[in-house]
Amino acid sequence: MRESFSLFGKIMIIFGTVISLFFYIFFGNIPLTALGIGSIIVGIAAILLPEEPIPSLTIRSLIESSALTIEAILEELRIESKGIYLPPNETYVSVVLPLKSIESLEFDEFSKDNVFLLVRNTPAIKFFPPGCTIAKSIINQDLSLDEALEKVLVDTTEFCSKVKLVETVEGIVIEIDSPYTKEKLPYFSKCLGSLPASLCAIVTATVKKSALQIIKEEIDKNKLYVYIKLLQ
Amino acid sequence: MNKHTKFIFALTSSIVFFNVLLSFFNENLIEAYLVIYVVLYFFYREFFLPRRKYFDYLGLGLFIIFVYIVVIYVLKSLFFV
Repeated sequence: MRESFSLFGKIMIIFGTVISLFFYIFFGNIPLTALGIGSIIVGIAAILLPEEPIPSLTIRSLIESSALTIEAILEELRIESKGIYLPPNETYVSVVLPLKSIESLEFDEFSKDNVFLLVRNTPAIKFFPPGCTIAKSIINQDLSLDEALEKVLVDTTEFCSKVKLVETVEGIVIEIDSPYTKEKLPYFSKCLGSLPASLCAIVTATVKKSALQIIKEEIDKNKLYVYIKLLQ
Repeated sequence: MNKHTKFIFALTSSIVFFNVLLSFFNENLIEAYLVIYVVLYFFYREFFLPRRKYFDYLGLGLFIIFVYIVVIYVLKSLFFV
């Protein structure tokens, strides 16, 4: 689709340039000259459209299918504690979920590669959350946090139409416009946040290189507010 | 039809429509056509929210043209009335 837009744009630019010059120079015809200029505008707009190798709907479906598997596991194990997102350490962002709620966990104990951990004698599971591979692609791009959130949540996955953030002393507040929340994942949402919020946490952990936790989410009309606390 | 296709289709059809409409009324000022195009571009950009690969240089260019046309006409009306 990207290739067709690019080709269409180039054709429109060439067509518009020829038309506008021809009718202006030889006939002095303003409407047709204006039509040529309009074609150039459409052509440039088409060329500026971004690459779209995989449709965002496909990416969202893949993320949702991963989340459904995690939802089933969390429901089976009856896990309801809040997960902690760990920054990528040569691999991807991971999440640690204690089987029971624990306060003030030591993060040094999370650096193990195991899936099942013991944290202060409390069993926990560690896994890669849905969407962690998308966030990995932004590591080498030197983006700021709001650019990274826009790239992942708006451009790549279209989980929302706009995303803004505010950094406070207590943490980060992210405002998500028109969030996509089609699948109902109660256990996933309780432990990891809703899918848009989870993606925000993954991107934030990647950019800030800090462990974090989603404190709460608030919905106000068509906006979702995600409150993230950095833990390091 | 994804939103990018809708954006291009809507922009193209609106430009053609307004071009025909203005020429029907024998409009011969190129500035009138350009102002309409600028308004249409910004309207559809905000309506469809198409993604962009780069900064919106087209929008910036059209905005500069729009401001230039407005300033010229304001100056004309101030000093030539």
